[in-house]
Formats: sequence, C-alpha cells, structure tokens
Amino acid sequence: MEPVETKQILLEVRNLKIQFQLKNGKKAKVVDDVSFSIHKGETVALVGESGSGKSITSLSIMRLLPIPPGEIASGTILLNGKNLLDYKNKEMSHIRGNEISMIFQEPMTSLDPVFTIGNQIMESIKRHQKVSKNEAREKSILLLKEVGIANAEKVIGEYPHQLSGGMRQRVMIAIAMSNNPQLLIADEPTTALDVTVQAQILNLMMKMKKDHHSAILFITHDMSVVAETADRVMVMYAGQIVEEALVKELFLNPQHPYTRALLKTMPSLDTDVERLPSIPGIVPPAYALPDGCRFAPRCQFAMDQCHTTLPEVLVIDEAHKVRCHLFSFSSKLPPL
Amino acid sequence: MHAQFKIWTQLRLGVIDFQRKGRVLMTKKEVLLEINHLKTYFPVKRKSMKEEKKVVKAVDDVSIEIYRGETLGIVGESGSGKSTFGRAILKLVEPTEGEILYKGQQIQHLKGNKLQKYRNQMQMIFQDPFSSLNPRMKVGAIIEEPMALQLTLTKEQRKKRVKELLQKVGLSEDTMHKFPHEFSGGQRQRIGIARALAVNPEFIIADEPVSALDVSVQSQVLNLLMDLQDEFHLTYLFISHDLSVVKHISDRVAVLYLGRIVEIGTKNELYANPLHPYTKALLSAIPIVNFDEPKQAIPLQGELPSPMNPPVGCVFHTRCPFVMEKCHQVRPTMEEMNEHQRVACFLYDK
Repeated sequence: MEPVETKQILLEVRNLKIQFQLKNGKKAKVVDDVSFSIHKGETVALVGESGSGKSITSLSIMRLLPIPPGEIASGTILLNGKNLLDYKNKEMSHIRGNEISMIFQEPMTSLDPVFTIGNQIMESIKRHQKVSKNEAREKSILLLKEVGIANAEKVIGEYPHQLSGGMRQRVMIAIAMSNNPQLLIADEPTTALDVTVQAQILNLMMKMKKDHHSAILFITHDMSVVAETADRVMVMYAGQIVEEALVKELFLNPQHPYTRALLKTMPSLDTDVERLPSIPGIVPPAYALPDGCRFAPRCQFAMDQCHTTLPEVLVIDEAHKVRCHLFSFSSKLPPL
Repeated sequence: MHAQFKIWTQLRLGVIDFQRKGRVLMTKKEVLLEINHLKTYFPVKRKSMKEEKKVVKAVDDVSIEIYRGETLGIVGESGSGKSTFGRAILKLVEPTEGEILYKGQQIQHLKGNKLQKYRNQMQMIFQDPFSSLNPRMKVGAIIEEPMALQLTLTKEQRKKRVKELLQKVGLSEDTMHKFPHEFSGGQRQRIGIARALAVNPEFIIADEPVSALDVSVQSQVLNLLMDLQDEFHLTYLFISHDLSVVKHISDRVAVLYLGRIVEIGTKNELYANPLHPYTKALLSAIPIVNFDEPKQAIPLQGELPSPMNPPVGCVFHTRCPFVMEKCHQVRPTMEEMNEHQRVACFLYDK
C-alpha cells in the first residue's frame, strides 16, 4: 500500500443528509450525516443491508437522485475540491460518465434493449471525447477486447438480449471505463451473477481499475466480496456510517456491535457451527427511526444512554472510526 | 393373513413411521424418495416447420436418492436445472422420462386424487417472498388455504392451527389479520414457511429460500428451518446457488451442471475434498475472508454453455482445465469413489 502522505483526496462527502418526502407528510431520513472520503486509486467498499441508504448515497454523488421526492437537506460532495451539488445540470453531464461513472446491479435493465452494444459504447465515447465515428468504433472494439470479450467485432453489432449476464456486465464495465473516469461507482455489480462469473467480473474490475488509475466506490451487501477487493470499508446501517476501517482491521478487529454481528452471521466455508448467530429484529424503516442509536433496539450491548442520545463518530485511530457509545467510555479519544 | 399383509405393506411404504415414535435407528437410512434417470426436456419454439425440433435439456438423466430426515443440498449456477429438478419431483413440471419413487411407490403417472394425496406430503418454499404470497389475501387465509384444500379440519380447528403455526415460525397471532405487504422480506418468508407446514408435510423443497434476504435475516430463517426440521422430522431438498449456505444446512450436497449431477457427497467430504474439477472451481470462486494466504483460485473460463446445445461427451469439458481426449466423446457416469462421495469424471477412472 502507498504511504499515507502521497494519498490525494479525490472525493469528499461531508455531513450529507438526504430526506424523502412521504405521502403521509412524514419525512424519511434515508441518509443522515454521512461523511467519508475516497483517495485517488483507492477501492472503498460501502457495505450495508437493503434499506441502509448505500445506493441513495451513491446516486447523490452522481446527482441522479430523484428530486422531488428526494431532497438533499444539507452537506457537500466535493470532487477534487469542487462541490458537485453546486453544478448546473448541464455542467454535471460533463462529469457524469466522464469523471465519475457507474455500473449497476442488473446489466439487463441498464443497457438499452433497442440499441446495439457498439452504439451504446460509442455514445459515451462521443459524448465526452472529440473523435470521429470511425475512431469511436475502433476504441469501442479495443475496450471490448480489454474487458475480455474475444469476438469484439461481432459483439459490437449485437443487441443486449443476445448476450449472457456476465457478458452484459463486461459491456457495462467497458462503457463505464470508456472515458477513463477518476471514480467508478459500482452498485452491487456482481449480485445478479453466478459465483464463477462473479469471480471473473471482480478480477476484471480490479484489472481495469489498475490500468485506468481509477478509484472505486464499491457498494455491496456481501462481506466476503469486500474482503477480496476493497482497501477500506465503511459499514452503513439505517442511513449512517457506523464503522469505517482498513479492510484487514475491520475483519480482524471489528468494533461496532453491528459490524461484529454482521461478520458472525455470515455462513462461512471454513468454520462449522451448529447454529448461525443471528441479529434479532429488522432494520428500522427510515420514517420510524429510533431515538438515540439506530442499532440500539437490536444491540446486545445497548445501555440506557443508547436509547436516548445518538452517538458521535469516534476516532479510534487514524483510519478506524466508529459510531458507538461503548467507546466513549472505554477509550478517552476525542470525538471527531 | 390379510391383516399381516396390510401391516407389511404399510411398513414397506413407510406409512408406519418409526421416527415419529422416536424409535428410529440413526444408522439405518430409510430412502424416502428415489429418483431414477429423471429427464425433463422443454420443447423450443421453431421458426418454421422445416427447422429441426429442438429441446432444452433442463434436467438430463439425474438419479438420486433422498433419505428420510436428511437435508440434501442442490447447488449449481443459474441454468443448471436445479429449480426444474425440484419442480419435477412435485410434478409441477411433467418429467419427460425416468421414474420417481416416493416410499417405494411410483408417482410419475399419478393423476387427480392420488396426485393430490402425494402432494399433500410435500410442500415447497419459494425464493421470492414478495411474489409467492397473494397480496389480496390476509396472512391467516394464506396459511389456511392449503388446509382447507387438503385436510379434513373444521373451520375452528383450522384457525387454531394457523395460530399455532404462526407461533412456530416466530410471528405473533395478530399477524393473521394483516396483509403480506405489511411485512418485511424475512417475515414474509416465515409466512411462506408456515404455509408450507400447514398440511403436515414430510418433505419440503426449499428453492433458494434465503437468497432474497439480507445476511442478518438470512441466518434467522436458516435457523428456523433447522429448528422446524428437528421438531417435525422434515426432509429437505435445499436448492441454492450459495455454497456457504448449502454447507451450513445440508447433510449431503449434489452439484448440478447443465442438468446433470457431476458430484454428490456428504457435506464434510465434498467441501474438504472436492473431486470433480467443476466442484473445485466452484468452491475456489467463492470469495473468502483470509488475509494471510492468497487464494489458490482455479479460474473458470467462459460461461455455462446453452442447455439447448449441450457439449457432447462430458458436459463440463468446454471449461475444464484438466480436459482429456476422452472427455470430448464419452459421457462419464457416476462412480462411487468412497463411502461418502460419487463423481462423474474420467480423471478418477480406475
């Protein structure tokens, strides 16, 4: 790993709050006070269960959040020091697909069924680069070869339905990488794929990241995928990041009770247990969040305080942060 | 004479259940379901009459036996035919060829009343708890419906049983007056399980029952399934693409590839010592949490071939790293490797 000094911050999200207006007049706090940063060339994983707000966070970085009903209540999203939230829509379209691009979970619905593969890759190249149609075509073929599609000349004239799930995801990666983005947001890119294909796609993503010097924000619910790909991990629960650490630290020395429980509930190949430990209860819906700590109703260590006051983010060491009252007692570390 | 014969028949058919009386000897395995050379083909629509008739071989010559009280895990990638296999056992899709013996009785030709009786003893739990529950029915009615169709209970008895079942799956009694949309994914899966248990089945086919759930909820449902198995002496056919989930819940595991079983073995043996190259690749493709030693991955090239046009010879030869001349022509048969494992691969030819 590179020394810390040379790391440049690429993306910085500060105190992001996103609300959704519900029909019954209530407001759902989907993302609440989320701050994190991504360095150049780094892979950061954002892990959480469904409804934890991880996809909404990523959509807000792309400025793809539906407004209304969504609303960014406060916060800043800085890309290379410039606030993306201040950009006009037209300015944002220069950034989208160029400096930040995204791949989605379901490659069938994210490719347009009525255009050929070639058309869709060329569209994104021509949008951001000054090239002729022929050059764009050449580039598209090269890209397809780069993502491991052998008969690229043929595939370029085919439609999405003619390809398998794994191939479609390769095409999505080719499109996302076509303009050498500085940041690639991958929202559950392998969830819809089989394990053997998943392994191929993960390898490909890591290779593309290296070749194109991009950073990746990897959104997933699968802890074991995280262990194999990420440099740093952020665990999200009910709209908040509850723990953030380097990947090895997080798996070997998890602090937040939720992270610990999450790691324990994973059925694993190398351990044998009679019963899987499980977390009682369910993730609270965003319109009925508990007072105090969001995890308190399900937490085995919950204290009186946890039910009344929301814990602050505590810095355990330089790269390890946790949002939990347990650590404000045991360690005398100052809150962030 | 007649009475003796009757008892003997019931014994043979397993109608007299030793297990329920707590007298079962664990060492003696009773075959509950025996499947011989099961084939399920689906016709493919032709563009014109001139075209050759084509079929998708979803399940192609599968033979397997399921013992009473065990959990048999079926793993395979999408398109391997694992769901079709489960459905064919319930006769939800018509098997093309082969025989299914339930307690020694052929069931593939059953119709009408007899088929209904057979199905009474088997139930299914589905993958998607959102689409497998009728959104217009209250939970109580959903669980009651199979009882009303299949059992001879009065309305009061049924209501009582619904309450019992809800309690068994960890839901409160007032759940029965609510609609499915009021519940989370994990709770709906519990409702699906209660519905499956309603008719006192012996055998449950669980088709990816936890893959739509979050990890923290997934483990709750897995634990529930295991508790219910102990309590009601259920036999499970557990279909999943997730090898770690299958490992957790199963006693034996069968690996399916393009409609054929390539390897079957006891859980411990199969995971510790996989024999078939596909099983090896499948196991090595699972991401693991291990920072000390880098993983020895056996990368599989390409993807599953089309089941419409499966490779000649061994189905896996197009992706196999150890492919030999023979694999292109001859189809390997299942051979017993040891007490615990059977594999269909020429690498282990004696």
